[in-house]
Amino acid sequence: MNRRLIRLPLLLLATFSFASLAIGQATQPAPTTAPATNPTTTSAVPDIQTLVDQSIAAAGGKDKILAIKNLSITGEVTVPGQGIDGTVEVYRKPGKVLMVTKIPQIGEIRMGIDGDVGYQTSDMLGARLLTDVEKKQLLAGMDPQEGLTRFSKLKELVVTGPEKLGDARAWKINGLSETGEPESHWLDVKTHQTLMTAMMVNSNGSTIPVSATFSDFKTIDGVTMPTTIRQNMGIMSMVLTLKEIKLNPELADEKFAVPDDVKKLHEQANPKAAPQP
Amino acid sequence: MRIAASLLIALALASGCTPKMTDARRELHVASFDQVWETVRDQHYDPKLNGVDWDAVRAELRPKIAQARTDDDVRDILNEMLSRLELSHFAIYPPDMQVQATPKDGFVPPLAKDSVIEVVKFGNLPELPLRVHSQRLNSNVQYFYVSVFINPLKVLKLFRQSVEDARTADGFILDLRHNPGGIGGMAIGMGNAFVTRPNQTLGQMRQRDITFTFALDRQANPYEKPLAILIDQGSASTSEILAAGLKDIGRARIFGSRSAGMALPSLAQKLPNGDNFQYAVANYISSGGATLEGVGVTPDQVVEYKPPYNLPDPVVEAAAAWIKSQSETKR
Repeated sequence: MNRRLIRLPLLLLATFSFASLAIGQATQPAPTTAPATNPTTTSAVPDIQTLVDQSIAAAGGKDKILAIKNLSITGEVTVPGQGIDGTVEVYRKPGKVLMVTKIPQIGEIRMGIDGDVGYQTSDMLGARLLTDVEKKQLLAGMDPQEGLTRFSKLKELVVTGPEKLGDARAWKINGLSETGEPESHWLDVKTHQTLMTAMMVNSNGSTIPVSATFSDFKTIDGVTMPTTIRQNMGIMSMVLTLKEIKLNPELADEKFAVPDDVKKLHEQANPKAAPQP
Repeated sequence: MRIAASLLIALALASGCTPKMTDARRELHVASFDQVWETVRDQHYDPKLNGVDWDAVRAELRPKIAQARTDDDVRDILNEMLSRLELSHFAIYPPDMQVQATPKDGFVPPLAKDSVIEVVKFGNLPELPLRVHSQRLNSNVQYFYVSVFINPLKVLKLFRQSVEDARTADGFILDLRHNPGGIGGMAIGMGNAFVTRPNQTLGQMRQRDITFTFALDRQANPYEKPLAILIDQGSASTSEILAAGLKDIGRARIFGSRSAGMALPSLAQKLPNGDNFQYAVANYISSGGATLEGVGVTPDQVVEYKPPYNLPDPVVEAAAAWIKSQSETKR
């Protein structure tokens, strides 16, 4: 009989804090403008403008992308191999975001921006205000038009490849973010879809390399996007399966309202925001 | 051996028959051996595996799977492989493992002895017995005990209610004795209730390529009165991180005896043969810069408590006396 003693694990549930990044990228079909900087390319690889044009077409075209204002997504989230899964809902309209992750026995994690205040509330952790960097990341991550200017914000762009990525071959675009962090995007040589991204993400005091792979592309209202996203942070992984994606649904502002405990935190951090007698 | 001497949670295996060792089952065991070996090679937070010759360990132990006659034999081989790392949080355990509600040494805080036991299942962890107890002591100090960091929905709700109740008390005692850990985020959730200043942390979790900060976030109405945390040799993992973290930032005074020194963040995965494999993926560094693994948390005030663990509980008494002294000093 095995009578070894056990130590209980610290399960790494920080994973769920980063779900917004991958979901957001799933809804950004393509970069659609040339970079502001002068990209360099190695021989025999297409220039960035060509890659951009191809991915615009693959995603459904610039007009289709520009037409996306509101967004709602429902899906499932799984931590592979760990026996942990749950559901995710995402709502977005210009300047506002709400993402709700529900994990049985862990509870609900809400991350949102009401147009001004960014916050995260969790049954487990409590409430906190998002930093300006986190708010910027969340808004950009959920903005379908973010892809229009993504590469123009990167410096020192270089295209290499093609390289093998799973069963596909992809062009790799490397660049540096506004803060000087490396960022990479892999575009399928045949379909021109984004198959993978890798970048640094800031979350509550940690700056972490996060990569995401995209698959199971589907076309919704003329826009093609992935419905399976695997996100990796070091040895931790999370798989998001998007079940229902609605483009331009009606979304009331009340849906994005800040919870009461967050209001108090915001008023304490910004005394001028407190109601005046 | 430190691992064997650590926690006093005995494992009682179900008494079902051991599956016959067919060729197909042996193949699953070999695949399980390889999965365990590769996971450690690829995901151990120290790429040098603390100097252990991992290839040699594989060469020595993998052939023994061919001679194994039972599933228990295989578990012994896998656990032997993991023991070469000389670290906590590396273990193989069967899928039907149950953890006894009362530890082998019989310790349950006497104040919590009559609390209801709930069996909780989470992820690939075994079913775990959970006790939670909250009360106001006669000394006007709030007391909260949790036996394991699991079921955050229930435990954090009861904990936050206990903290609210404590606003009219002189202080708060958090009893983590014999608490072997659990979901790491619960330490942050509890820590958040007590921090009064911004930019506080419970330390860092260092993986091979990534460092996570256990950032604490001041809540809208934090608890500001004295906080005492009780630990003992059975307090491990999440318990140690919470105790060490709040001690380091000067928010809690620690009472009891030195903790287990088993504070490696870990995950648990299912193996091809159906067993569960727990493995550390990070080292924990306290906000004061200390490694707890193999060291543990040293109490500010050492208080011994020996069987048969009857009332009065000297550790609770010492903590309550300190809280009273703090309260009187403030007055």
